[in-house]
Amino acid sequence: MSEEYEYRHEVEDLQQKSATAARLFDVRRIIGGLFVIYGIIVLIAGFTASDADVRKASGININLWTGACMLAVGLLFLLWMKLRPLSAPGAEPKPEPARPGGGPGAGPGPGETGGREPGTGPGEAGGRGPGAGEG
Amino acid sequence: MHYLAEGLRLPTNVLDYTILILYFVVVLGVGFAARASVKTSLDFFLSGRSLPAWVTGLAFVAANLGALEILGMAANGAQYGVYTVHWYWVGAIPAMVFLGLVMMPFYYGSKVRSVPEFLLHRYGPSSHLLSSIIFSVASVLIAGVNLYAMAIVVEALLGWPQWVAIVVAGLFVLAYITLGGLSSAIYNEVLQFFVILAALIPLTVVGLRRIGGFGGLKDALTDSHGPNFVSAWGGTGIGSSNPLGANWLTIVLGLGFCLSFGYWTTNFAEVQRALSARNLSAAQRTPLIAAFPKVLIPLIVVVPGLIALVMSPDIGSKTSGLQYNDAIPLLMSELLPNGVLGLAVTGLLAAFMAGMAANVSSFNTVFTNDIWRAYVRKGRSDGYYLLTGRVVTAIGVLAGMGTAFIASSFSNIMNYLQTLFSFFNVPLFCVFIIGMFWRRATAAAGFWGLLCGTVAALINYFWLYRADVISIPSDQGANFVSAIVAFVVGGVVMVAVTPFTTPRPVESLAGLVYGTTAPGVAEPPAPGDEAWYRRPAVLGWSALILAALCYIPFSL
Repeated sequence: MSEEYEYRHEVEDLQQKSATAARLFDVRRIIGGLFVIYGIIVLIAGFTASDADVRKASGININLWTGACMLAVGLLFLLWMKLRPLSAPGAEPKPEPARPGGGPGAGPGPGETGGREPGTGPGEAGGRGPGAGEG
Repeated sequence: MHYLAEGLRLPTNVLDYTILILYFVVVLGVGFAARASVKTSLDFFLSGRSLPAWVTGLAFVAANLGALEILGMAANGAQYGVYTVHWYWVGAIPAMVFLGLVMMPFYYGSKVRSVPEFLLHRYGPSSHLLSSIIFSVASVLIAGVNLYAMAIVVEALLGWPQWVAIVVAGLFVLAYITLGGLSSAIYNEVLQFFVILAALIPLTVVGLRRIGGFGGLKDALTDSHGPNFVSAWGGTGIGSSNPLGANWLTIVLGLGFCLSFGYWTTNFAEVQRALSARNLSAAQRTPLIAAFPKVLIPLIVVVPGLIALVMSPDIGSKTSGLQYNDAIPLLMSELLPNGVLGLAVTGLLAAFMAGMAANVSSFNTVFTNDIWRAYVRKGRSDGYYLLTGRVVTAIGVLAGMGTAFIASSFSNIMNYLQTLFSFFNVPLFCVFIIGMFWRRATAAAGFWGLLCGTVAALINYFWLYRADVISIPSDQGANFVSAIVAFVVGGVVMVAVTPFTTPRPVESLAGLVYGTTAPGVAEPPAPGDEAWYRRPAVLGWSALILAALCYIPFSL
């Protein structure tokens, strides 16, 4: 094969040596953790909201609602991670382990960030993505 | 000169700052945690081509959802009305679907590490070097624009001096990309995507409630600005005038085809996310998964712009002291109590940092692989290039800080960005699309097409339009026309040059041109990828249909 394809072999070679698949942590842990903490903080702000706060937000106790939704989203991410964990490192990236069955519990989760549509897309995409459970 | 009114200072308290500081800590933590995964240069520049599609897909949309985009599109909403949805439904979705369904097999399948590298193998060194340099310069400029805009917003909202904001945000981006490379950038983008949703959704809900829901919004705007302001296509007939300064033809061809395809399919800051996916199917699904949130983002970006116009009808006029870009900061200060306010500030800062990180992480890849490694220091060890990537990251961020002042000559930041994109990406798209489908197109044709297209757009915008040789009613309209000019000139030059120059040997084009396959690199599909809902065609066509359906309420 000519040198035209040299770079392809190089990339394949580097891909074999790559450590990302084995050693990169699970992003769902970060999203879930941060949203749980944010949810609790904002929820507390909601419970202690003054009348002025509520009046400013057109009569909605927006901290309460946002906090509750964020807490729920955070928990759903953690649940999703628990139900479909990343497979053990060390497995070759090529022969990927069979996907664990069962519904992705957190599928539509991220979409419900505020109980409104804009998140639904990514949420569903998350649920039916290649499943973070694979290596 | 963009200037935010003094009156926008937010009543932030300890609660808000707790939320903000927590975010900065997590961002840095992601960088440190991702560092363990960086062993080779491929890990640093492309996450080892190993990420799942939902992660790369959300990063794909978040890389575009920088704060400039958010503030700029809300500004366009307040200035141009519902026409702004064209930037999403005509100006993004078709191009994203095209990238996923048509172009990704060439990009990912050929195992190139960057968009310019594809040019190297398809056309040769001249167009490769030209494109790499243009991209590197543009990335640093845009990173500078981003930083400058952030400094102004942060100064107005939080009272930080501009240099503090520039240094803090710049150094955080520098730190987490230098540590964790693209993985760190992508993970932070995914996180940022959700934080932005958590910031903008409450803002929109409260704002809509204030002005009486969608019905109240539509009635108020129809009364004050006429029915065309709340329709997507009303008043866009050729020859009729509208605030956008464009007609349906320039919208569809200029924005929907040239600008949009140029940006989404050849801008490496976007394509890089897809190239880091774990296999071809995941790479194809990256822009397709991103298309679904993209369809709905106007609901939480353009709608707040419209709400701001109703709540403060003189926004954008000289007397009010408020610019269109202030739409979202205005709503934040008027509507959000402490707590959610801190979340909104965090979302905005997160968006600034992620937007800049996308530019920096693509810049370091192109500069290291396509300029340094290809032309300056060939054949060193992989560890050498990994180190170079880290150094280049630092240089890129510092250069971005230095160029922040360039942004100051345009009133609407979005115009500036669109202007840059129309110059740099459209000719590139023209060269790509011809190169992918026309085997005969030669190396010389690629180079001259790229160069002439770029120059033609510059001439059209800065000479013909700015100097009033031709009459186009607005900057946006001029951008659309410049994009069309760039594409047509690039294409014509390529077709004209090709017959007189030698084509590349057929065997060197395998896997790079339509109808060829690269020998021996076919990857077996991952188990589970056959599922119908993971088929790229199903996802792509669904996104297109969804975007078309979204037009219906605004077209009747």
